[in-house]
Amino acid sequence: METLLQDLRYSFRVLRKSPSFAAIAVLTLALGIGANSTIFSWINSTLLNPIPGVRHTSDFVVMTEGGTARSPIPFSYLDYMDLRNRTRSFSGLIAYDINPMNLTGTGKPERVWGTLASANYFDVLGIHPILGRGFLPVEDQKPGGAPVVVISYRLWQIRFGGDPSVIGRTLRIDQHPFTIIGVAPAVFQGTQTGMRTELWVPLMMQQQIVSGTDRLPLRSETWLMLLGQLAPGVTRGQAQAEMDLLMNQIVEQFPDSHLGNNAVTLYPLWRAPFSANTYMYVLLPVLMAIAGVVLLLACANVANLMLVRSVSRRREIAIRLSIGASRWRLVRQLLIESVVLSSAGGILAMFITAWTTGMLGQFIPPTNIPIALDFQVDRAVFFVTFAISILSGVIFGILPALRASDMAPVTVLKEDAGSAAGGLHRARLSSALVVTQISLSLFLLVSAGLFIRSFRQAQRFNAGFNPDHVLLASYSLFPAGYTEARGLEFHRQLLAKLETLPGVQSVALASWVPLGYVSDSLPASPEGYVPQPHESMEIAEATVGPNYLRTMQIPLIAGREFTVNDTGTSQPVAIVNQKFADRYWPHQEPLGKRIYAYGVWFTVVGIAHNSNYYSLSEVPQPFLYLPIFQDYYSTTIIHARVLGDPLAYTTAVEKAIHTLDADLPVYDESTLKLRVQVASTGQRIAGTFVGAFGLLALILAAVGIYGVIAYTTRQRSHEIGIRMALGAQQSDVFRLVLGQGLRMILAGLAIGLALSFVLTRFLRNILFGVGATDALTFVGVAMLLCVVALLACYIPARRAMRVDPMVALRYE
Amino acid sequence: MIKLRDVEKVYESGAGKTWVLRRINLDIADGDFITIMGPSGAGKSTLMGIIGMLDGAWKGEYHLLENAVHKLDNRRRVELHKKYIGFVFQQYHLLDNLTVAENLDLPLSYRDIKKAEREGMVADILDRFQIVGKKALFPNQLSGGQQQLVAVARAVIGKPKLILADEPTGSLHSSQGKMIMDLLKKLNQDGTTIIQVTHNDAWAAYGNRIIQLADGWIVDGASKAGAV
Ligand SMILES: Nc1ncnc2c1ncn2[C@@H]1O[C@H](COP(=O)(O)OP(=O)(O)O)[C@@H](O)[C@H]1O
Ligand SMILES: [Mg+2]
Repeated sequence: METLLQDLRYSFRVLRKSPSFAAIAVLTLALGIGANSTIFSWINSTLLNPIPGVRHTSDFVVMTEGGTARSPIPFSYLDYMDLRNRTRSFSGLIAYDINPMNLTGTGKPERVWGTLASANYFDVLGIHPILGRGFLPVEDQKPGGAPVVVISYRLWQIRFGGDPSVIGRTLRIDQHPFTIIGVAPAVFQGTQTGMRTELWVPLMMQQQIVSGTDRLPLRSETWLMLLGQLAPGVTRGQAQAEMDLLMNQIVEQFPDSHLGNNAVTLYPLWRAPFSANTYMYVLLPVLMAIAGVVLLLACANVANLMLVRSVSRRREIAIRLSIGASRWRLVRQLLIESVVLSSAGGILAMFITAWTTGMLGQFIPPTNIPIALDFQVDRAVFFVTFAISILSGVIFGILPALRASDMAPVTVLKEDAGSAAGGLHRARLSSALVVTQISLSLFLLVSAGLFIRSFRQAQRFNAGFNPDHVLLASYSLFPAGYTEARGLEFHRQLLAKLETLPGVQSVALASWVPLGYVSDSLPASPEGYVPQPHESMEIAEATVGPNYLRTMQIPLIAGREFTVNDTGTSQPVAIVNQKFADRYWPHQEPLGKRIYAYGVWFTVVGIAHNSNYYSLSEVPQPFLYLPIFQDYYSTTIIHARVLGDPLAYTTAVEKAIHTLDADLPVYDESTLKLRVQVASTGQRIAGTFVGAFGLLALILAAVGIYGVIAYTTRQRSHEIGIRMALGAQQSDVFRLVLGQGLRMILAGLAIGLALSFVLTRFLRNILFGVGATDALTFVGVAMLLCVVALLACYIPARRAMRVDPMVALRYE
Repeated sequence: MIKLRDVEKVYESGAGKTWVLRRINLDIADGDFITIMGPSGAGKSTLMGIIGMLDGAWKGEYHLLENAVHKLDNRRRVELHKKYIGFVFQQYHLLDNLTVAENLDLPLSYRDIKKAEREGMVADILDRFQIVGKKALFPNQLSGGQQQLVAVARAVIGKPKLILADEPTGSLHSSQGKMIMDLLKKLNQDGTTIIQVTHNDAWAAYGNRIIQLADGWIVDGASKAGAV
């Protein structure tokens, strides 16, 4: 222990003596470690801690019924109750539904997102309100009979100023009075990773919160997400088997309300659907792996610096060996030095991370959902950073330490100061390290190139509509107390007003925005089509108003758009996309055909061109448009195609709304362009961060090859002098040095290309519009790296040309 | 063959100018075997470097055969060097990581000679110096005398008209030294002009003329008149 302290003290002294080496090494390591701790902090706040405030989330699973991870389908209330009553795999099974809710009464009207939850919600999660209580079992029993609400800490602070007497007060939610019974802890924001909800209301109050029919008794109405805690000792696989069994029983019992695919899927929280983790679990592990490569590269760089430095310490090491230090003791001493360096790098990395961890949040574009990803540098991040630091200290320290201590002290001590022989081994190891650096940087640059190209492709991608010059703004009529009849009248009058605004070319209402996080679908039966066994007839759907296709600039292939005359009293109509028609009515005239859904026959009046609905990479899928004046939506999004900057029209649109209803909140004002950026968020994040990693890699590679060539050239100046004495021209010397560099570069490029060829396939899931082995990227990036590396060799090669043979050959 | 007129060499350091060679006037004829002597630091190696065109920074006139060296740029000088001059050093200056054969090939590699021809020339010289058995060895596997033998062979392989030997026996035992000196003598008899630096009177006697250098000045033997 004492010797360890002594070694440590000595390390500090040694490093203080070469401050520029120490500074470069620490900075290089800090960047490498910082890249890793940053990405880890993101993983920590999403995949590892999917529900802030809930400690042990590994035994929680999220369930869907049918659908896919991309557009999963939730459960009906009755199915949920059956599963909950029959299951033995779960110690608790929560059902919940997230909705926007309007707060009125005391304070200004406000629209927040809230959760309708089964009464066991807080108990199963193990969340204890910091004030008041959670729900009681009795609040799960009588529809409409539990007007109570637990509010978030944030809402408590903002709306009630943190008043402790808030318990028992009344909060008007969607025009209904609710009694505040509790305040949730500050960290808790709901169970959807990345989404913040401010209110929790018992499921029994669903009819007060969401317009329309009472959904509790309807088995075909799927609206509840299920979150279960596995009973002790039960695995996810066992629970899955039980759920399959129970669901089969339910489907057999109620076949009519379970058309299509009803397979229950259990997801661990780190890749739960409906949450930010759906995206993060694809993206972050890839970023983490790439950051790991960055760190390896940084380690190779520092290892090379250490090697170069160890030359000047040969005498010191030889003396230590000759007075009886064991090799292990020397290796330890040298390793302690490198761990001191890497720890310093780690500390700096923590500061970097504290700053970079918030960056990811800035990449997530605004949507209609309250995204709240709280990235923090907590204890886990700290420990992981610390561990990474120590590990990298050992990684980059071990080779130079072993090499430096591997010598016969006698020969070294006898050696002339100028002898070049000692450097040879080291030069070979250095060269190997440079080849490694170049190949790793090539891989990083290829990845960066692929992601940057993906991002550009994603931005340039034609999704089948024109996202430019469209203003979006939302309003919600049900929470403002509108009936369906009054609401329809409001929609109609507003449209008429908006159409006359100067600069507005076309306006439409719609229930959704494509390429966002949310989507609707409905079970539908196209006339005359016989589904395959187990074919899902859940068809993606959006409810839109007149002029929607025109406003979006989605071409109308045949028929007509909806008009204001497509109302509840006229014939039910629908527009389908080309794919719908081709899939269900091949070689038939789709216009005039009918679709059965919601117990109604809709007649097809228009065929729209295919466009992208959920993601940029989707294959065309059947899509159904229903008219908003027939299929009433109280919450709608205004789409206004305008001349010039859409956001400049915000006030005009708000004014138009407020002349009709002065108190109606207008929210989520944005542009279509911004909203559809959601679809390329992954590419944007990957492009930015991997791009930065690539740039870092390029610099590290250039510094690395420069350092080694400069060092070996200095080592070789004697040799160069001899060559000159034998008739070498300066250009021969230049070529000699550049050739040495070029050999390393080419070896590095070859290995790097092979490595990239093998590894980039793992990026495929995040790439868009560009192949994982895109030749243009591979060749372009290899050329870029080659040029930069050659430039790095150019400087020492120029210097070698100016070696004075008289000086180089003179040594006594 | 060589004509030096008022050749001067100055090192400028922060403190001021150091004169290393002063007004050197020297004529060397084809076939001469010149010995340069003088105390350490007198400027002998510097003079060799200038004659051998390893050093470009000096003043004065230098004629090598029909070439006015002082008017040539570095490139041309190296060309002249390659054509006419071979170097032998006290420290042998073989490259440690090349074999004997590769060391011998080195000067040829800087001349426009085809690979096959070069191999032939290396084989010839190995033969001539009777070191065929050593061709695959590395310098550190040879004795000092053997290393210097290789170094002389390397100086000779390009068929130079002039050999510059800066204390070639300085690191050798006397028997090995004699072998090297006999070798130089023989080369001289075959027509090669030789300039050697030595502190040893016995080795100096191998030459036909001695030039004494002190503090950068030629103090004796500048002209032919001073020859034996
Ligand atoms: N690069 C240099 N800078 C300054 N002085 C030098 C340099 N090289 C040699 N000298 C000086 O030039 C003088 C002549 O050196 P040199 O020709 O090697 O002498 P010799 O070979 O006769 O022993 C010496 O005094 C030496 O210190
Ligand atoms: Mg000398």
